[in-house]
Amino acid sequence: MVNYIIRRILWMIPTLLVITFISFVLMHAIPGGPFAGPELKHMPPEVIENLNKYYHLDDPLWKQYVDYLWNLLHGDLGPSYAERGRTVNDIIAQSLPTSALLGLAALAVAMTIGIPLGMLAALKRNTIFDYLGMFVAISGVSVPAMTLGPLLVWIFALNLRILPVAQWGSLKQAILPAFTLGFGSAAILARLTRASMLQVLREDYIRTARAKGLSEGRVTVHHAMRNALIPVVTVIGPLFAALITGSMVVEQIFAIPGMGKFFITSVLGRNYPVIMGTVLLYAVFLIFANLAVDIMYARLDPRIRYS
Amino acid sequence: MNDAKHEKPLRGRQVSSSPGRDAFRRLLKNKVAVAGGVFIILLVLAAIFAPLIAPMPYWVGELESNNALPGKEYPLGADFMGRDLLSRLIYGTRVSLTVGFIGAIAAFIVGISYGTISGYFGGKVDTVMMRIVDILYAFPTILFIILLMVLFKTTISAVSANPIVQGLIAVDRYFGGLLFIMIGIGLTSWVDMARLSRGMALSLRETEYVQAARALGAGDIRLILKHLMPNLVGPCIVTVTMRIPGFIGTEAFLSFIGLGVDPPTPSWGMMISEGTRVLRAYPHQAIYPGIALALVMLAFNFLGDGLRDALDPRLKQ
Repeated sequence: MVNYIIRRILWMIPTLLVITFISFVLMHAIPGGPFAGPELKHMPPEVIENLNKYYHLDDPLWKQYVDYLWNLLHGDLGPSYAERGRTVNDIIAQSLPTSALLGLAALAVAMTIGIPLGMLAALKRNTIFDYLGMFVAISGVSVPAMTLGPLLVWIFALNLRILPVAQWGSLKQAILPAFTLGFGSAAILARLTRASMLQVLREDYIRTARAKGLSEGRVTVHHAMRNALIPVVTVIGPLFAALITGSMVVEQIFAIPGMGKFFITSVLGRNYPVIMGTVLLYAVFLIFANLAVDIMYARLDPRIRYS
Repeated sequence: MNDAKHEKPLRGRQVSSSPGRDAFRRLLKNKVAVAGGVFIILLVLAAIFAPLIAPMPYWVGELESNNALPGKEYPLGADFMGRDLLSRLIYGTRVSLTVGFIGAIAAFIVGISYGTISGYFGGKVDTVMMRIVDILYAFPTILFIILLMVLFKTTISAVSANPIVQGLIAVDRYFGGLLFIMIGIGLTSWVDMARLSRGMALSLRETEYVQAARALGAGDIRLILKHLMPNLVGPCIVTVTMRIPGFIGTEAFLSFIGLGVDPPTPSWGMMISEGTRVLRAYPHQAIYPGIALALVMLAFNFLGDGLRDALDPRLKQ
């Protein structure tokens, strides 16, 4: 098991190398540099030349790449071209917690709504709870953040006026974005929980437990739920990773200063180091999330063994 | 094996049924899936016959009637430039459906081929091919597409004498800015499919009928084409159908941030983006395209669910 984890983590290095390479190539393929934009048209060319020299943008590309990797090894992600004196590490330190908080809030919403709903739907089949749960499941999977966001804003912020429209900072401001982002995941969790619960309830050991005379409550909670939650837990890892990447949409809609928003701004402004840094970070997240899932699955289900 | 002589001959209306036909019949019984399918067909028709259905061309904007409320002249209202919302919604089906289907086709063709070959041959080939897939899989798709789109869009404005580039630009303009989005989505959609089909190919490889065919001397190509692929197609179609809402959503998001189609081509994502700017006063401008987007995704999800249940009724709970 430990071997497996170590191997997976070691594989991260070549993976990230390839990812940095692809990002680097793509970035530099985009014509125009960070200082060639229309806003800087009035600058005398010597100034622009100096800027390029300062940031080593006139070095041959391979050298820039190698320098970048070297700095990376030392934990330096480079300066931000857009704001003088700010490094990418700064930007990430500021925006990552925001995105992470948003992701966690959305995950919390998803779990508190999705899992109980799924359980209820399974326990009370073909009742109102089942249909409600399935309605949530279907709509959550289909209604994208771009539809839900403006709709919720219009209802709650503009008409009912009980929640703020956008931005980030207070608890109230977090409600709409977290819900918009988490609703889809809630639906996935509800569906999965219901399906898993239904399957578990049919198993022989449940029948045994009931035959032993255990109360229905204990059967449900202690035996059924535990086993039903196994596949659900495995899905939370990739779900969280999807939330991190999906937060880009929500950040755009609600003007939240997270990594997604910075990424878009920096791509449009050719802020190379920020671009590379963000891509790297997202990729690291993804890899770790997938790894976490595999580990958790192996842990919870003793039938699975990784060589 | 063939006991045709001893079987009772089929009489009258009896038609011999194939698994495909059985599955289709099961699908038709699923009312919700059928509703989804019908809705999609209607959208396809709307996309094809848009110039005939739409009350107004989508680019015509009378500035005096900008932000008009739904009424007789503009059934669903007008946007900030006075363009009819209903017409733009109808034309918007072209963008969304094109992106959805192209993504699906690319995922299907490239992904299945890649995965099947990798899974069938196994060993070194499989390891190398899957490593590539794993690395690409770790690359955040949306970020990749955004980089690609910026690359494409800025290459357009940069004047290039290269005739190939010029040709591509012309094609892109004809499609209203769609070409590069399709390329972007096509480049990223196959990875997921490849993984899936490789897994299936690995397990199918060991089945008895494949081993029997191999014992009879069937070559690799024949095995892949005639034995593996037909069995892969079913679950792959289901998966691809479920992925289509994702492609549509990606295009909508790209247009939402301005990296999608070029105006005045209507994309629901761009319409939502324009609508949110006037959300307080004219909510319908953002909500109608939002509903359209949700309905399309709903339809594909229902269809995908139905397909899955139809192709393997054992899975139904």
